Amino acid sequence: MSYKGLDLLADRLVRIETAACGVLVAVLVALILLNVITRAFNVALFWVDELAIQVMVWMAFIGTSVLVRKRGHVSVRLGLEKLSINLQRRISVTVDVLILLFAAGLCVMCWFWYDPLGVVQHGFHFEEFAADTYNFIYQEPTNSLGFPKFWIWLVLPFVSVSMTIHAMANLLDNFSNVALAKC
Amino acid sequence: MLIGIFLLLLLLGLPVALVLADSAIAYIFLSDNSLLFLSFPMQLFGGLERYGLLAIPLFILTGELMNEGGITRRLIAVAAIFVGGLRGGLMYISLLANMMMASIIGSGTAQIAIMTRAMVPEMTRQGYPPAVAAAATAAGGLLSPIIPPSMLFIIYGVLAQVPIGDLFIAGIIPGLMMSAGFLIVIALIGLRQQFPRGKWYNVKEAFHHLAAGLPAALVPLVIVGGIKSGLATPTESAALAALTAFIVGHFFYRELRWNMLAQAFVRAALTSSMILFLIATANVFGWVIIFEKVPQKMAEWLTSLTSDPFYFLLLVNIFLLAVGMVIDGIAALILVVPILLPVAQSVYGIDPIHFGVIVCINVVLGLLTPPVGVGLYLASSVGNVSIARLFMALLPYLFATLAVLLIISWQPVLVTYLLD
Repeated sequence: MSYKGLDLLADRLVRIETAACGVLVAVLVALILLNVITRAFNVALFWVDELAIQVMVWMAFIGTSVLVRKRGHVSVRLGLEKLSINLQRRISVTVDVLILLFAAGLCVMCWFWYDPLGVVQHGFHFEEFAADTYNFIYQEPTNSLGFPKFWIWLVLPFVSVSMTIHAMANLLDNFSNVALAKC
Repeated sequence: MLIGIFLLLLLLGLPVALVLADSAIAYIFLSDNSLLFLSFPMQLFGGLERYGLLAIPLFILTGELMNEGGITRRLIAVAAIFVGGLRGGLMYISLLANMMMASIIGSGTAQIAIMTRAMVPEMTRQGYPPAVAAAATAAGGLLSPIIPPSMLFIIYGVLAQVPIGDLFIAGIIPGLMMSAGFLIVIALIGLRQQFPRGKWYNVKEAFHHLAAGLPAALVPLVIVGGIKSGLATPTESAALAALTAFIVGHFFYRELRWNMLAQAFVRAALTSSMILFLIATANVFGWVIIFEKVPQKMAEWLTSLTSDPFYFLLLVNIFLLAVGMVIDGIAALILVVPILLPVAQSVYGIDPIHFGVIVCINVVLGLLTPPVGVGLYLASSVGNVSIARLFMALLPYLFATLAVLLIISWQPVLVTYLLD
C-alpha cells in the first residue's frame, strides 16, 4: 500500500474508533445509572456490573489505539530538547519503531492465543482443541453475561491490528518529515 | 537488567505505558520464559477488569461537563463573596475557588489548566506580578487530587486493594491542612508585598452570585454524601455526579448544549484511556517483576536502614520527591506503589490508607517540580513567566505541602480520624 493510502486508512480508522469511544462512555454512564435505579427499587440486575466493566475495557483499548495515532500517550521528556536536531529526529524514529514493535508483537501474541488455524484443524470443536493444545481460551466463561469470554477478548486482536496500522502511519509520517526537512 | 532497559526506554521518551509493556516483553525474552507470552494479552486485559476503575471515566466526564457548563466562572464569583474585598483579594479567591473546584474535579493537571486560564490573566491585569499569580493558582491545583473526588486515590485504591470511599474520606483533613498552609503562605507574602485592594460585592450582587453558585454545590454533596451514607459506591456516586453536572449545566446554567455532550464523552474517553492503558501495562509489568523479586530486595535494603515506621515514611517521602521530579502523577503512582506498599504494610505495619494519602500528596507535588512537571509548564505558559521564576514563587507553597506531609507522616490519626 502506498504511503498516502496508509495515512488515509489510519485517519479513517481513528475517526471510527473515536466515535466508538464516545458511544461506549455514554453506554457506561447509562449502565451504572441503571444499576443505581434498579437497586433502589429492589430489582437489581446481576449482569450490569460485569457488562459495565467490559464496556470500560473496550473503551480503554480502543482509546489507546486512537492515542497512538494522535501521539497522545504521556511520556517523560527529560532534556531531549537539548540534544541536536539530528539526534532528536533519530530518537523520535526509534520511539516510533518501538511502538510499532509492541503493536506488531501484540498481533503475534493474539494470533497464538486465539490460534485460528488450530481451531480450523479441529473442525471448530473447541473441547478437542483445548484437550490437544492446553489452550483454554475458548472454554473460559463470563460470570454473568451468558456467553464465552473469547468474544469479549476479541477487542485485543482488533486493537493490536489497528495500533499496528497507526504506528506504521506515524513512522512513515516521521520519515517523510525528515525527508522534507532535508529538501 | 530489567531496570536498565526500563530506564533507557523511559529516557528515550517512549510513552510510559509502552515503557512498561516493552520492558516486560524484553524481560520475558531475556529470561527464556517464552510461555509467558501466551498469557500476556490476558494479563493486559485482566489489569482493567476491576469495578473501582469504572469511576475514572465517570469522574473525568463530570469534570468535563462542569467545566463546559460554566461552573468555573460561577465558583470564582462565589469565592469573591467571602474574600473578594480583602487586600490581595484575588489571591484568596484563587485559593478558595481551587478548593471548591477540587471537590468536583479529580485531576491536578486538569485543574491547574482550568484554573490558571481562568484566574491568572485577570490577576495580572489587576497588577499582581505574573509569577506570584501563577504560583498561587497552580499551587491551589494541588488540592484537586487530595480533596475528594480524586483520580489518584481511585488508582491507589485499585492497586492497594483498599476501599476507594475510605481513601476519599481520608483525604479531607490533609486537603484542608494543605489549604490552611497555602492560606498562611498567601497572607505572609501579602505582608511583604502590597497586593492590590479588592472590592466587595453589594448585598444584592452577593445574593445573586451565591444563588447562581448553589447548584454547583450539589456535585460534591452527591459524591461525599453518597459514599459516606453507604447509599452508593464511589463508582455509582461518580455516575450520579456526572448526571448532576449535566442537569446543572443544561437546565440551571443553560450553557451545556446537547451537541457539546458528544464531545465531552469523547474527551472523557480519550483521557481515561490514557490512564487505563497505563494501569493495564503496569499490571503486566508488575506480573513480570514478581519474577525479579524487586519488592523483596527493596524490603531487605530498607530494613537495613531503619526499623522505625516514621523514619521509613521520611525515606519514602524523600524517594518519592525524587521520583516526582522525573515522572508525573499517575504514572509515578503506578510505578512505586506495587514496590513500596508491600514493604510498608508487612515490614513496618503502616495502615495502607495512611500510606496512600502520603504517597498521593508526594506524587502530586511532582506536578510542580522541575525538570519534569506538567503543572509547572502549564502555569508558566499561561502566566507567561519563566520556569525558574515560577518555581521560586512556588517554593513557599511546596514547603507548606512538605510540612503537611511531615505532620501526617508523624500523626496517622490526622488521616484516619474521619474514618472511625
